[in-house]
Amino acid sequence: MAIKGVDDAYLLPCGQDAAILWDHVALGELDEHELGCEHCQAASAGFLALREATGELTEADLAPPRDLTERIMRAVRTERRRDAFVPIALTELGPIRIAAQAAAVVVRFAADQAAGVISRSCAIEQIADAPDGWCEVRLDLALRYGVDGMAAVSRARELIDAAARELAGFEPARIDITVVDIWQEQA
Amino acid sequence: MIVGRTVVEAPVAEKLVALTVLSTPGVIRLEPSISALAASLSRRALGGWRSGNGTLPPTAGVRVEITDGAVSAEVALSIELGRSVPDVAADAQQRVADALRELGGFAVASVTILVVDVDRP
Repeated sequence: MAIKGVDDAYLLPCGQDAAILWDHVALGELDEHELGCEHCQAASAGFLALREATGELTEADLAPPRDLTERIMRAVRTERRRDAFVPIALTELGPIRIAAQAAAVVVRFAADQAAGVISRSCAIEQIADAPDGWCEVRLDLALRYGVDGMAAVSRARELIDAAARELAGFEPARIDITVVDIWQEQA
Repeated sequence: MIVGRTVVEAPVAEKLVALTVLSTPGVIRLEPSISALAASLSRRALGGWRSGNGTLPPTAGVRVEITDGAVSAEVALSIELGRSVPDVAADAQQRVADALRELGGFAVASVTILVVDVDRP
């Protein structure tokens, strides 16, 4: 399954915004899509459980944790990321897996180290029928006006290759890079 | 004197796992799912639990099952950006297994590590 970029952290796999769904759950007014969508239904069930739990906190006159909102949104993101893991190791104790979006963070970080490069969206996908951890990388990036574009992209590719293996732990069997924009440094 | 049975319960295993993971260099935090967060908040309300600083118990993000006396643990966590994810995760995995055996007296069936996020500390 293809994974979108890391900028849409609070979207559900179907594309629905978790914050909007939360509002609809609170109002008890799910729309047609939300009623028929498995992802929205699963998230709704979680949100309902959360609302009950926070209601119990209020009834019990307990102060909710100070970081509750952040924790809820983190949990939404975690739920979404559980949809796609890349296996990176299997030890005698069990498997180690990295969420495709977490691997994308590493790839974007690596690409940004190339001079004149700013990464935009990134998708990591385990290749079907390939060994565990063999992935396709798709990265959109922007180049600074005036840099040698092909040299910058080549350097970004080298850095991604090294970071994928050494930092994220997966094998970048294919790295597709699309230049989507040019940016100018502020004077 | 009759030496009776000693039982160490699942919540103890959960807490051992959580504290061990959080003390592993390179691990930033545990990452609970929505259902785990809801369960954690409910336990807080039902138990009237309140800590000094208003934070949740540290075990959300850890799932433990004990079958025939052996622990299977699953941990969802975040790792510091710039660290080797496989190295940090494998270190956490080994530390969890050691803690369960040495501190809790458990047999260990498996320890699954799910790296949900990579972030700045």
